[in-house]
Amino acid sequence: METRMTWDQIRKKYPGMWVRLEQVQWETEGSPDIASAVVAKSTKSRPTTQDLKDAMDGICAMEYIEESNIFHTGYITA
Amino acid sequence: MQQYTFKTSKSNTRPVIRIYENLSAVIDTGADIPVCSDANVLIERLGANEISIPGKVIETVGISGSVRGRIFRVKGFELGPLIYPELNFFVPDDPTMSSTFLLSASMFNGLICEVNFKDHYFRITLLDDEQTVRLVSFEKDGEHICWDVRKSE
Repeated sequence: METRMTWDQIRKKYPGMWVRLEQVQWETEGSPDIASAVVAKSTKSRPTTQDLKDAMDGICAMEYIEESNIFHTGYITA
Repeated sequence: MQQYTFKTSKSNTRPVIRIYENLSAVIDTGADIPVCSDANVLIERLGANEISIPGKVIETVGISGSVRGRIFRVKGFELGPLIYPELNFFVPDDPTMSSTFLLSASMFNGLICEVNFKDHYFRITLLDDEQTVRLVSFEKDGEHICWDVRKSE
């Protein structure tokens, strides 16, 4: 069964992963921020070309969930 | 004067916008070269041709070191009011990007651009004497890439 999740729920559940999001509800028109969506697929590897083409067509959105403790160039240590 | 405004992400510290429906793109003012993570998207959807020479090593140097990849030319890339008749994209051999596209500083050379981190938008202002058609050419210098940006005539 497809479960709609909020963006915060998605971020907590899929850190460090690419997610294919369907039935996306954006926060506002034209915003890149997602309010909620259904996660159709999650993967550690990068998106397939088809996933990206679907995103270009508005069929889905492909988002990478950054792990909150990782900077672009390294790790934060305690 | 003409202005075009993209909404930027509130949940991302970087200026991330949406292009082509649901693809994310980072406005990377620290980058010289537009980058795309997927060559097939450029080829199959945007009609790009590879212009790098097979077997010839192309490298760019960024904050995380040297990256190898290939160069593809897209004809007619559009971003808001801006039209790039020919825009070259670097495609890393092993992309580790969190967005499909990085839109580089060279794409906005000579323009008034505003990244507003408080109200979350990226705004391009075109003065009356500015062209919407932008030419971004490049030339290779050894194994590295140099960029020369000029307005269309």
